Amino acid sequence: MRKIKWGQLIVLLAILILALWGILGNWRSVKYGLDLRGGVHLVLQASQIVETKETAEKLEETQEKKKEGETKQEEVKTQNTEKEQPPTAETTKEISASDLEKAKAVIEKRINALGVSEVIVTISGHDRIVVDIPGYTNVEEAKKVIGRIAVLTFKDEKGNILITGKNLKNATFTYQATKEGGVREPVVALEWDDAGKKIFADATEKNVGKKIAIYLDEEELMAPTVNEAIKEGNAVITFGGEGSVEEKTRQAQQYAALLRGGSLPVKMDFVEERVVGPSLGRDTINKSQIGAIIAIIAIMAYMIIIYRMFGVIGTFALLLYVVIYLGFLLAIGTVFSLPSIGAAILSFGMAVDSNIIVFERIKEEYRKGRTLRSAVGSGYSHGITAVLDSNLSMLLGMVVLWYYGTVQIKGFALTLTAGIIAALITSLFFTRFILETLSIFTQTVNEKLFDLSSYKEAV
Amino acid sequence: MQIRPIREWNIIGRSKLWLTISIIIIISSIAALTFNQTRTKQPLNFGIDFTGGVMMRLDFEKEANVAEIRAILSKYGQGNATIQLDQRDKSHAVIRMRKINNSEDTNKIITDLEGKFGKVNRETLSIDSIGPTIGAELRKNAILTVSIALLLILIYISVRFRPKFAVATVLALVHDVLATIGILAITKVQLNFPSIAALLSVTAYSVQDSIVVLDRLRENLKFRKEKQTFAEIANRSVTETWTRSFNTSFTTIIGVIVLAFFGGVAIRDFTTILVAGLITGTYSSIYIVVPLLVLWEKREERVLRSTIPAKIVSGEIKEQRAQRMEKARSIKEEIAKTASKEPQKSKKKKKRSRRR
Repeated sequence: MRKIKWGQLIVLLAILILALWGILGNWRSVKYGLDLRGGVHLVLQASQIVETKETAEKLEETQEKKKEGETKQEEVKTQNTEKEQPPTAETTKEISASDLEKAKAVIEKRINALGVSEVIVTISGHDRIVVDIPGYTNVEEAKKVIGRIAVLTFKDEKGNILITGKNLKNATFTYQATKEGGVREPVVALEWDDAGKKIFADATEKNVGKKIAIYLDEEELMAPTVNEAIKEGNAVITFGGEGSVEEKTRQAQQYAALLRGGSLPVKMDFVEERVVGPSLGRDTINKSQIGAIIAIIAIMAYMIIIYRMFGVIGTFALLLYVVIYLGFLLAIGTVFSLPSIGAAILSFGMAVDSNIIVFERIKEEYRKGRTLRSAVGSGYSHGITAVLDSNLSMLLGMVVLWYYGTVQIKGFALTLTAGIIAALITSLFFTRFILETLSIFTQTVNEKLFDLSSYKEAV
Repeated sequence: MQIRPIREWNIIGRSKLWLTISIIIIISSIAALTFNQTRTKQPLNFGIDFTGGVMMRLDFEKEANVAEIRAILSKYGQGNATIQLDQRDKSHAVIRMRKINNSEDTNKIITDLEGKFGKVNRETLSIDSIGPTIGAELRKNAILTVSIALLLILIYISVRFRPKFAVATVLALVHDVLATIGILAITKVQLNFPSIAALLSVTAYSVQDSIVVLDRLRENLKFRKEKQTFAEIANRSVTETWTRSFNTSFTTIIGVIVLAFFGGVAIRDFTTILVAGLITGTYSSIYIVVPLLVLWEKREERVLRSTIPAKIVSGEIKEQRAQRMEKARSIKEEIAKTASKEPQKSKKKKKRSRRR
């Protein structure tokens, strides 16, 4: 007589305990994607700062200027030297990873000022930044806050760009002693990076006595006059004219903040915005939870009607599957979104597939005149190739999707992969263990109960 | 009434019928796509995820009406936007329009609309605004990813089964995707990001379904008896696995349909694609993959014969013809018997004919 495989049972129990632990430990912190939870989803596209001029004449001038800047930059050998090409029609130049990182840091700082928790800022691909603000719906406010990190440019009187915010290391508000007396005067101190010092020194030398306008996007912030060529590179902007010290202080503080925030290395445009009201998502969550439960019950009912006792075993297998599946998904911290709900439902349907394949095979073997025990044994040994091949080929596909896909596709692939693995575990360990144990103890089978038939009686 | 047992069905014998049906389905899909292309300049109802643009779902306090919404939109140069009101609840509006350059316009539009129809419920609001490059990229990325995944699956099936099996599976898959797209073209379901996930599921499921049938074919070929033709083995494999193919798909379809009913609007488009894909996927695994293999195998037998000396060929042809005649006769007999007699007797008959 064949023995009960206790080893299988132990493995099964271990998996079950792990799964339960996964569910109970993470039940309260289920993560939902923005499409279900509600919130603001923004995608920003980075592009190199390229000036767009009205007249071709000006463009040509700019190009010359740029070329000059370029040769100088090459001397200093910054990492961005090669990318500083004369402006072409479109903004399709490469964005360096460090520029993007810097932009991301600035954006994070900006949104945190918004006072919302759990903001997720991620770099997507090689030139995009994704901002997710869960539970927040005021997209205009969010955009305004992020949008202020516009492009900072310094232009001469002709409108040529002399230098951009990319080279600006820091802009701080401070006081300095005025020339006339000892009275403190509020100023904005500009600190350039190595390449920037060189360019700025050159620019100020050429524009002594003239104005250099500072632009945030298309908006002119201020146009201070250059008093002298600034050789060492670090400059201060003073606020002359009338006005109280308090007013000047406030002005200087504001400009320093704007310049700091504006010192983005690249230009960012919003290419994708999504707002989902929180109750819209909540509604979807509730409905799909109810849908999932009813779907499972319907599948169970169908299994019991068609496969009778086998169906009952399959039903328990499905319940176990749900536990393992949820445990796994929750333990790895899956973010549930619409596509992953779809994947989950698809997985429920497929979870019983392995069992159906094996049940059918067992019935078939029994029909050939085998005993239940022998039918179960050969049912598994034959049925397993179909089960493994279909699931492994699917796994293969999902791995590819996970590797190459975008964020949401990744979620979908992951949910389905978890489903495939959970289905294999339940069908290869649980159902098999139950059937084998059952067949050891049953000498004569109630054929009606299992919907079995054999040729023995037919012949 | 008596339903003839599946194992006596002659599925492969009607290969040409199944393939014709599939070709008709594919042709109608392409026709539907071209029809849409000429009428709306888009083969499918691509949502803004693909085309770029703005989509707003708004719940007003009062009932809205299309003409007044359009009048307001016209002020912002969006006169040809698509405006839909919920049939049952006219205060719920879905507006789809071109990408707005100045994003503050979105806010202004909403404020204007609020002036007419009362406050918009912020809890249930949804606004999507997508740039056109995102859509193009999404399409490119999806196609690339699916191609790589399919290539790997093709290699997997080639290794585990036979290269021919892999080709047949992929052809069936192309059929499934085309058929599903055709249904999408006819039903005008809006395609957005989740739709890609749904189409991916369809392809994955189609492959899985085919493998169940192919596994049996592989097994039966291993224990191939002499004089058994490929077509016979194929028919046996298909009929033996018919029930499980149906049941595995049906349980999944149950799940998806239930979700469609209870899952709310957000999920409905997704489930429509799934149901369409699951049905064609199941059909193709039985009625396309195997018939294709049989036709291919027959063709090769014919080519093989033409290179063999004439004497053997004529002998083989005679033998084959005799076999075919006998088979046809036995099938006819079976049909006649099962129509009139008990199922057990037909089983006996079946056994005898199989022993042959």
